[in-house]
Amino acid sequence: MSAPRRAGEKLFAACGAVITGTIVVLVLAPVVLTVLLSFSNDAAIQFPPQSWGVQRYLDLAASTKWLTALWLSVRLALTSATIAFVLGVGALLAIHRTRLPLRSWLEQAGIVSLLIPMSAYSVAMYSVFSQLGLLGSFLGLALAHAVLALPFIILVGSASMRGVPPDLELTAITLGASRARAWGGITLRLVTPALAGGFVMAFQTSFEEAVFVNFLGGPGLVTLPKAIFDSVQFGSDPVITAISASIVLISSVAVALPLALTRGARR
Amino acid sequence: MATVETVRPAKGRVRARPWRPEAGPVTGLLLAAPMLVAIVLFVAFPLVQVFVDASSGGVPVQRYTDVFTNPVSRRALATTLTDSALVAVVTVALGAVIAWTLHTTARRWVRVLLWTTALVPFWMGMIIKNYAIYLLLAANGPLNALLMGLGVVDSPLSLLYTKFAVVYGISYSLLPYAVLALYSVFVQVDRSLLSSAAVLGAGRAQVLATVVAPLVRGGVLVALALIFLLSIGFYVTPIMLGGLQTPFMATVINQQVFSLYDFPGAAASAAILLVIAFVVVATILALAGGKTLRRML
Repeated sequence: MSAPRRAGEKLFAACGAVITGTIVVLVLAPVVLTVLLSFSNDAAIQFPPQSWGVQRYLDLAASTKWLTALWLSVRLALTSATIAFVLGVGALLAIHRTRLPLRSWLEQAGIVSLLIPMSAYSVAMYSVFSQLGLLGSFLGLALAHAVLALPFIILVGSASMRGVPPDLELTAITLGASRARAWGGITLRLVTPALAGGFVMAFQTSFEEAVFVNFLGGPGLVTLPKAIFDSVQFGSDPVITAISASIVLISSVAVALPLALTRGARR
Repeated sequence: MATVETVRPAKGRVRARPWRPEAGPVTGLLLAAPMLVAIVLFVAFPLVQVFVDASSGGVPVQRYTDVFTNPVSRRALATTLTDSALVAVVTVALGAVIAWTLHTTARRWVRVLLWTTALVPFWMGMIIKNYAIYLLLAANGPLNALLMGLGVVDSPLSLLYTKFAVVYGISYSLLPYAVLALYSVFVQVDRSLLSSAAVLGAGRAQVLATVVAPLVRGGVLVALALIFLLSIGFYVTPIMLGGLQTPFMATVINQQVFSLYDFPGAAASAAILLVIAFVVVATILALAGGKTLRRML
């Protein structure tokens, strides 16, 4: 290879590295910044912080407003993830283990909500919810979130179900198991890790959701994202940095822990 | 004398068809019914209802034409489409760099760092990541402090409530989708092709242009369309980071519902967005077919 050519190659590789590095910084900077600002005792958010401390976490722990919103969000996310899970597992069995006609369409139907523009979807849901009298109802919002979360259960579950050979069930049935036992004891048990992942994604979908709750929740259902959204629109409260940092930390652990635990098993 | 033919199974045990391991259609329908009901009620019904609402009150087309003739919503529609196109190009370009590096790098720490980068926006939550970007871009925020410290600018730039802020915010949220979609395309490019091309004398840029690009073109187009589709519906980012200066359709819809109480007008705006989304989905399916889309999702 000629010298100028080699220099050109080096330049190209260096450019790639610089671009990659910039993306990493642009993505990680907001996260790092939020965590940094949460450990400041300044009365208002400023950069660089003039004082350090855990005052914002103490304020958070003492605040009824934020803790009430957090508790509502957790209950809502658990309810909607459970609904999405039940609907999704039934549909997954119907898609992969029955002779229901048009069952492949069922899969497409299950993921369609992922592709609907949210701002249009929420207007449409507002109209339907007011007709059904579900505006401001906990169960209604949980159902709406469940429909948003369903695609994740279907996508993750389907990919996993495809990897389970039906022959295993056939063997179990030959040995005298009922079909329900074969489904529950073999197929569902084998796809449990994937379904658990889907459940976590469904929980997360509802927990972070801020658009449906804005349209459908009414004044009564103030979830954590809605409380933050309102607070930022009408002047922001520094406690939000502490909430954000805690959530980032908790979800990072929730994502990293299973990876770290399975690392040994894979090797 | 009993012959074989006379031996019949007990009544009710006659099977018209051979036994199959899969359960029958009735069981299937029962299992799928809860999800079907939910989808009919909360996906199909709303999507139809929005068109009904937009045409209610004896004005079947008036509100649709209003979306295009009213200067505010026309500008918002144009902004939504151009900004989303920009978001699609930026996100796919950046996502492609990450996905390609993930596919080709041999270094473990690079892989860990890039997967973290690609997935951080996923688990941060919509509001929290927009809030974090809001803090980053604030007039007294670190980006301005950095620019002023370097002497690039003398007074703080107003970075918030600009096109830049909105594109940054939406691209930030959609980066994981772009990386995952493109990675599923890139992993199918055999790495030995790259070394073969290099052995035959091609430089890195030439390999990318003549070997890789033709193989991934279809997938990249689908990724562009997918990101565009997801971008036009963004609600939180345009309102939090764009404000009223760069109104998206979401901003207009928000005002129509919560300030003007013009619900049928909002339905018309939503209906137009849905039609655009439908056209984009149809284009994706025509470009790639459902299989590619499923794999990339």
